[in-house]
Amino acid sequence: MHLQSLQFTQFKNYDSAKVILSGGVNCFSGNNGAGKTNILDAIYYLSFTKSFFNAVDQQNILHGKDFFTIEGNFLNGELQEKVRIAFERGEKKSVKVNNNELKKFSEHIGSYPLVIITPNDIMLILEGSEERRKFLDGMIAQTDKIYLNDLLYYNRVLEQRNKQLKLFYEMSFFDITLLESLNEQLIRFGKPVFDKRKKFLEEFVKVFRKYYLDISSSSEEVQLQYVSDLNEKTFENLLDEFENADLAAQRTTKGVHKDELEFLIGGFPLKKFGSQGQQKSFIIALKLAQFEYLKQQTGIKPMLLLDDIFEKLDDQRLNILLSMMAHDAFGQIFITDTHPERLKSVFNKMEKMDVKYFSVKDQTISEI
Amino acid sequence: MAVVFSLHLPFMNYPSQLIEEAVNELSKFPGIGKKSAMRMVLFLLKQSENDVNKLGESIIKLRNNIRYCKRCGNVSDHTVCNICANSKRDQHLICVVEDLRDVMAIENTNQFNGTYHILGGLISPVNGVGPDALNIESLIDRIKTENTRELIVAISATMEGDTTVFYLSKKLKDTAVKISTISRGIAIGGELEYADEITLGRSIALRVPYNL
Ligand SMILES: [Zn+2]
Repeated sequence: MHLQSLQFTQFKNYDSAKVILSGGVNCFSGNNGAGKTNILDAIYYLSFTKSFFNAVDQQNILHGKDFFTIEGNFLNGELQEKVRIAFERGEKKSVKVNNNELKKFSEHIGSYPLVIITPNDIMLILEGSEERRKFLDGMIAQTDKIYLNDLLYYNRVLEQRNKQLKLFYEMSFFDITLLESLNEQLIRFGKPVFDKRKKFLEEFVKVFRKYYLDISSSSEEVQLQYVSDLNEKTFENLLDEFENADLAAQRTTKGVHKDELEFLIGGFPLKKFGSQGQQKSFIIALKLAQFEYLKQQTGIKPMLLLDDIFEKLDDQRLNILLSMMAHDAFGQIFITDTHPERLKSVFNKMEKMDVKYFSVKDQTISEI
Repeated sequence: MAVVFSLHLPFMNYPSQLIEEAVNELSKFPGIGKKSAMRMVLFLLKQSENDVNKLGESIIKLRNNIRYCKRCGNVSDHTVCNICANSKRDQHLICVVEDLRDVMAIENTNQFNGTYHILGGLISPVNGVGPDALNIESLIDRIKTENTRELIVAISATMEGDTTVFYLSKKLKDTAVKISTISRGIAIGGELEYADEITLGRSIALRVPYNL
């Protein structure tokens, strides 16, 4: 499977652009701020129906305009598939696959698997648990549509339950039957989310460790530790036990929305005890493991988006990535960099590869 | 490249206060955005004055004169609706539904010969709808006083729908009434009104006991 062509109008800083892509490596070079990353984000939209960088669709419209569209033509085996995303200010976002309007975007996720590596990834280590939960959910959701559905429902029930806890407090009343009904729903969707996260991580951590050893050339033990309230007690018991605490806090204090994925190195938190190099290796290993896992599960080599990696990665880690590319480990690749010569000197050496070079300048993308 | 728009940025400048008002009112309809509302306004302006007056009057009459059945909450021209008043229908069998559309959909299948109870919505704290805003107390009273034999719960398998079903079944735990739900040939997340007649008819016929 690969993306044959991509076009978008009034998306981010582009008025309109169209590119015919290589099934191998696509290199986009241009100055900072020229809009290289926006091309990657358009591809991300086709896969996830939303931006990687800015969840508010409205803010991805070209300044002063009312709508944007993104269209991609995929070749899936013998089949041509057209994905079209349109968003107009004040209207519902539209996602069409082969001209059929999708009712539920969640059903689209995973159809065009994708892994993105960007300088922002360091936030996975630095930021709070929400970032890591999102990363974890994104990996599972791309191979399990029911998981994504359960998770979306869980979050909606959670919102309902939190609102009800607030209402109990503000209106000074209590309806045990109502709370129990909401608990049933929370458990119904939260339990499978917990089970799947746990099961996924058991498998995933093995793949991750293998890549970490390849990349770091050192032997410190790394771990992805799944921390969940549900590890110790059943969700039913937790909700019972913390009913009064929830009522006082006016929100749900226990559940999978509190889950944490701890990154450990030598048994200690990576954020505090990992060197910069170890942190970088950790992130790259996570992403490569994600790639491998998706490939195994879907039978498709995911699209690989590499944003500015020449700037951010040191030679050692970069060389491992490039050597993987040369050995055909990946499928279709999209790379951005500020220096066209640097890209050319790297890929000219890989003779077997089908490489296209694009220059990004003044809101236009042209093949060079 | 961070261009941030205000979420409330107006995207249309209206040439007339009258148009703006009409657009604002029409866009309160579910599923109608401002653009669609604007199309409706332009359509209305092209119609004859008489036609638009008729539309306006029918809406006002609808809201002012509508009556509901005292027993089941169905729309009715009398104190008790035609279904409740029909002695040929099984008065000890109640089908509980969200709203009028579900009654119409189930009646169209010709598979059901009992009575209805219309909740008038589903439990959704986020939308300010609690159990007391729905016809739930009246349903419980009905079941206790009418010696109802069986209650069929025909509520969409949505999140709010399922919360409401949980709530109902818990409230009715201590009564003798047998509770069944329509068999879920209807997709999770599916709205009842969109189900085709065959699916809906079959789901009524093949209803299953509701196990908590
Ligand atoms: Zn009635």
